[in-house]
Amino acid sequence: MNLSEFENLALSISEITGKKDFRISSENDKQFFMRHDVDSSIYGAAVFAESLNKLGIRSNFFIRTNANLYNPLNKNIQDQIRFIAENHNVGLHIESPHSFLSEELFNKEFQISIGLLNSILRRNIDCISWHRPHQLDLGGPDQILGLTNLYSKRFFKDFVYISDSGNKWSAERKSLLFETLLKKLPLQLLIHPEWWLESGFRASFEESIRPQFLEQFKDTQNKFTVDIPELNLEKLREAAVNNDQPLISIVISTIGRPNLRKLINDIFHDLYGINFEIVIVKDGEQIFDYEPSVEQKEKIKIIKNENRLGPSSSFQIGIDAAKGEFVRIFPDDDDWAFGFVESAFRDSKPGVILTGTFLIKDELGTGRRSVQKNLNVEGPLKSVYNNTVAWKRNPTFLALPAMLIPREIFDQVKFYPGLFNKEDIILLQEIWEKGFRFKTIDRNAMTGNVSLKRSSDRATLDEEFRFCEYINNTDPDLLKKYIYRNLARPHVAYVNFSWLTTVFRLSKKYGVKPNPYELINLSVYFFIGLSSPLLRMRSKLFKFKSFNFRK
Amino acid sequence: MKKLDLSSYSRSLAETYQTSDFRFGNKNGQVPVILVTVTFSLVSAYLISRIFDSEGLKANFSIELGSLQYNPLSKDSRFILSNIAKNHRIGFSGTNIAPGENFYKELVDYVITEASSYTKTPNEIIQNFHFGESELRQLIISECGGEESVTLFGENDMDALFTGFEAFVKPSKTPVLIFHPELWLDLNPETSLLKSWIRQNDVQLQEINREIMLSFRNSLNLADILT
Repeated sequence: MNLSEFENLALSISEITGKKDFRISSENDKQFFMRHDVDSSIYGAAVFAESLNKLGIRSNFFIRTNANLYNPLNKNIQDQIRFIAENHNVGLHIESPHSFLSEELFNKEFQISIGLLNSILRRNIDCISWHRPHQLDLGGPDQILGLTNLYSKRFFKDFVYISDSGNKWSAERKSLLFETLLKKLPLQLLIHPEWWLESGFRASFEESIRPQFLEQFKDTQNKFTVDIPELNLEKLREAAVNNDQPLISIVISTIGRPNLRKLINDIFHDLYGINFEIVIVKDGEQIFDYEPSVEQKEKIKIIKNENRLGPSSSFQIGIDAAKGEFVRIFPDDDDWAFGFVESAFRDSKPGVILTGTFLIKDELGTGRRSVQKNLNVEGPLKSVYNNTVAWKRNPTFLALPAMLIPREIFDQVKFYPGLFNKEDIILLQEIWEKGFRFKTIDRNAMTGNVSLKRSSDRATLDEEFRFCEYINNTDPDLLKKYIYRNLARPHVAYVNFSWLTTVFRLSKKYGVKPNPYELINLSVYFFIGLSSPLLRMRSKLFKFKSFNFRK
Repeated sequence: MKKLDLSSYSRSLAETYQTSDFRFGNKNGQVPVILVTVTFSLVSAYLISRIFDSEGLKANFSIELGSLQYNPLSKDSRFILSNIAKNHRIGFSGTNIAPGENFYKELVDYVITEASSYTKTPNEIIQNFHFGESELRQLIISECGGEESVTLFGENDMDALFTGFEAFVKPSKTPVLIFHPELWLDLNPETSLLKSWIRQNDVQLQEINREIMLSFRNSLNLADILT
């Protein structure tokens, strides 16, 4: 992907459509339009605009007012925005209301952003595109506070939508693009200048900003003749490790996930400067064995289970070996969400933190993850989890890594041994029962997850708050029944003696009796499954059921 | 000139003047006023504020809204501002933004309100706003009670506060020390801009945020680090 490839693409589109105007207009209403979200580089966008100008093509650029990397209040940046607007349509690119704590906050930010852009352009902008839209934003209303919404049903669902988001531009997407154009179907094409402009952007930077900046700095430098003390990064790092920061323990149970090295690297990358340790519990025979690199070794402790004990037992073994003040637990099918620990500590000393819940498809073999969708939520407590986030999407889902748990809690609460599923929600219930309460953190502080997960598939802040509120205030009997019912109807692959023991223990503890269906289920497992060779066969058959490496 | 060590320098100031309040209106005309002018790096301003915090000093910060280096409207910037505002007074400058737009007044109010909303404790943000060096000068002069009562200092004048002070400043004048954060830390605009530019092309925001977060985490120990 480079600028000339983009130019060729734009020319081909122009030839097929017979048009050079790719802007959104009533004329283009049901045809084709192209848009460019300017996420991080206004100079990149200006280079892009200039290139389109040369081709005589007009397009749509969407500018952020709260980007970290360009400041729309700066005169030079404003000049670039005005330059783009000379030949192209300019709109606002902003986080959707779902990313804000309240509608009021969104409205405030929205109004100020519109005011700023209008003031820069000296005319009113008329359309908007969401930055990292949430799933709920897709197919929204036609107008947002008077601006045309490019994620409305009209433009998103009724149009074919093709984008290069995440720097993903493939031959398949290109052919889909041309196919759609040839069929004259309505099409919205999103192209981010940043992904196509490495050399062009650098040139633009060197030519336009750097000299100006050096000049500016020279003045400042001339004013003062002082030795500039150096910020000693080594010392900084040492200080980070040696000061009073609490130790964070990351406990990982694995049967040999192929991308364990990536997970470990992500942790080291994200927690740079934070006091942490990693405890890896290798649960039985490893599918892909992992050994840490020499540099990472001192922070990693590895424990090996001779036989596979299941995640719950492995977690407990890991927690017992962990020395941290806070614990974050990782099963085999979760990725590291960047910024989570940082965010949790921004607040002050965290309690039980729960946030950033995702659902992802298990595609460990390819090393790629995608978000699981269209889950049918059914069950006796549907109305309960309809109002919560994790359960709303999958009644059995709770992301253990979404919790940062003070170590002291584990003095009172233990994982039930031998479980292969439901260990997470049982843990949550136990923690809750001991009187600890959950809270969520500002998800917007989690900045690094973009490359790993699509933010659109994450729970909204509002949903997360509701979830925590629900957990904190729920009717305990209802929650217990829910947990019990889920546990008592397992997949055959998860059945073992520990599971059966836990079902009976919880039945007694929660005061829930199995219903006839569950009773039959349990009896069958007990009298046939557990005592016969079928059990061993079952265990072989379903051993790696949830890990399909050939996908 | 001796190598600057902000931490020990702050300590000396506090000892010399027997006070920790170096904000405008500190009610003692003889006590200097510290004004940190932030143009290039909000992170370095934050680090400076934490060094002051560790010495118990309260100062003034003037934040440039039109910086090329940071966007005061971004969430991270607002978070930093709110943290500075916890112990210090904040004003805003608009040297690099187009003057004369009424809209900017509204915008400054917005930034201030946002900064306040992050700060859980009562803060003292000054809502001053100026467009350039001369206006800044006017602002400082008016804050200190008129031209006759103020003397401005830059970093290269600082020794004068300890040696030959009497000769340098009339007893009736308030000395105002103007600090440029990037001169005290290795975050000078050139390297910082280049760094962020390189990062923009590579790992982007994650890295930038790392720098900010790292600063937050370690700021308490900065006094030991800046040698």
